[in-house]
Amino acid sequence: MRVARVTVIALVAALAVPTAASAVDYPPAGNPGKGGGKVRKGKAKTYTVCKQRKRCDFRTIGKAVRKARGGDTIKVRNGTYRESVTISGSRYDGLKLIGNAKKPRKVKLDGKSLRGAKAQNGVLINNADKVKINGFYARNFKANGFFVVNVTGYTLTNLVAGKTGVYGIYAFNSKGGTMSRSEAFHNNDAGFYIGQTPPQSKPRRSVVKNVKSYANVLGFSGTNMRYVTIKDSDFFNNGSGIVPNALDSEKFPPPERNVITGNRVFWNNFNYYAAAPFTVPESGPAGLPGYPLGVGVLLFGSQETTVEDNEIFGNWLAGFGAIQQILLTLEEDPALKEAAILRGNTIRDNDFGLNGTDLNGRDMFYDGSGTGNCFAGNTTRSPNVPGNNSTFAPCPGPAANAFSSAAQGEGVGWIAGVNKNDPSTFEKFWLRHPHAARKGVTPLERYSR
Amino acid sequence: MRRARASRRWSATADEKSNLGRGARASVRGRRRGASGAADRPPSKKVKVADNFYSPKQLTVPENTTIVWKWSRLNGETHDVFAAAKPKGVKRIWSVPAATHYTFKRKLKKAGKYRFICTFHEDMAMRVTVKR
Repeated sequence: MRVARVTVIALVAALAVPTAASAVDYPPAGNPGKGGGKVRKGKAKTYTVCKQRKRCDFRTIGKAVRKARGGDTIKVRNGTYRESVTISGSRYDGLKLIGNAKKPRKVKLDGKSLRGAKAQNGVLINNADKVKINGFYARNFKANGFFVVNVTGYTLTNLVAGKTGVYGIYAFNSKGGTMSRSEAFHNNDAGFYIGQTPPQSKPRRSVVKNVKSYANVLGFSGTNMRYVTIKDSDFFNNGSGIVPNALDSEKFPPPERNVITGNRVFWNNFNYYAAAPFTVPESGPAGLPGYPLGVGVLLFGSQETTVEDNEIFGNWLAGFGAIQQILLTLEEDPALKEAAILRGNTIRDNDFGLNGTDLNGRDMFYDGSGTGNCFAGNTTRSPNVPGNNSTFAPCPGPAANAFSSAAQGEGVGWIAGVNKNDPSTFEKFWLRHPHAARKGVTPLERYSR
Repeated sequence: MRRARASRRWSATADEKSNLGRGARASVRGRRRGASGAADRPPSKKVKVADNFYSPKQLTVPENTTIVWKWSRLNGETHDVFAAAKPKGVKRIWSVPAATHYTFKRKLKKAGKYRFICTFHEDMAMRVTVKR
């Protein structure tokens, strides 16, 4: 991300060196949620946690977790808890950790004064299925706010995650779960992230709904995520909005069978290179010189994904973009080459430009690579790339889309022409228009305290 | 707990501190370590944990070397250290997932070949050969 003025060719060459796969002995992130956890025999117990001495069972959440077993409930009263909570192992299957569902900001997990391992993750759930976390605010952690890894089934609701070093609310190598009624801001990567979803013969879908993600590097990122529905949510004032992406740094590329529907994706023009409330990441995905800024929804490699019924407006580079994962196309591994390709994606019934009152710089960008990608029923009000719309095939998508090297070149130029030491280069290709006023939200391009 | 024990072992007594200058205090610490001071210190090797690589990627060390993995402050991603391969009988080695401001240490007591990976990034790996 911080590589100055590198050409994509040089970048690609440097990144295209094949590396040995290590799937054989790649251990904990294999097949999560085999089930059969040791749920407590008999009636589940409820423990209370609060800061006041002798008024609750415990004064720290960690002590309550150590005492609890699967199926138990831990109720945490309002207060600031300077601790990191780890829920690890099948003995915790079905545990419920309940804060203040109505006012999650009242139950804070604060990593600011913590050091070492304790400073990393607000709540870490590892190998414990069907855990519910409800009503907490995690902030100032060096890694992640709420982090779920290697599980089947999770419920993360009424959460707030702010000022973390990586992701706000994060699920990795997990099957099926819900993130809802939650908020993420000022995270130096994505506010919400679901990545490395294991392929499944009977997929368990994950649902992200009614969330708000703003002032992050990305509103939502999904490296090699699959079976995810993102709906009825707001992604605004991020560097870019929603970005499913194919990378070889994680297992199971490409991202596939995702649905992005009913969201409001707007004003994603936050140029954090100029100033940011977080440490700006050293590099972009796959060593790209930077994440693009000013894009609403970007498919950076995707298959069988549907983007429909979204309101997309006020994003200065493009409202929607789809481009093959150009770095993976250069890999020797045929599976990675395949993962780079856009296949079977449907972009339909999206409304761009908010009735003409809040236009995108460009509405839709698509390089025309891949097969079976189609566009139908979209209401556009700004120019598309390519300008002659030659790549936007109607649905159902054609056996082979009409590739436009000029369109791809233009898209690559947006990424390659940036220099992190000169924040204005990230705005070079923006096409600005006036924003429509929106209650309770102010456009963010340059951060100031 | 471990830190407290180390502190008791290496710190000078209050009397010693009050009567000695900085150089002399260092000498006291050295005497307690052994006659040759630093020469007797258990061997250790530092490994950088960065986005998305360990550096160095290969190490050959004698038995009882402590490997110290230090997370780069420039990291924008979460990483861990997991022993994907190790000699028989060695207990699980697995750090917490961390981004920055974190150090993880393990003394490798048993000779053999170790392979460490980041469980979040498939190709992020390193090998350590421990010799007798």
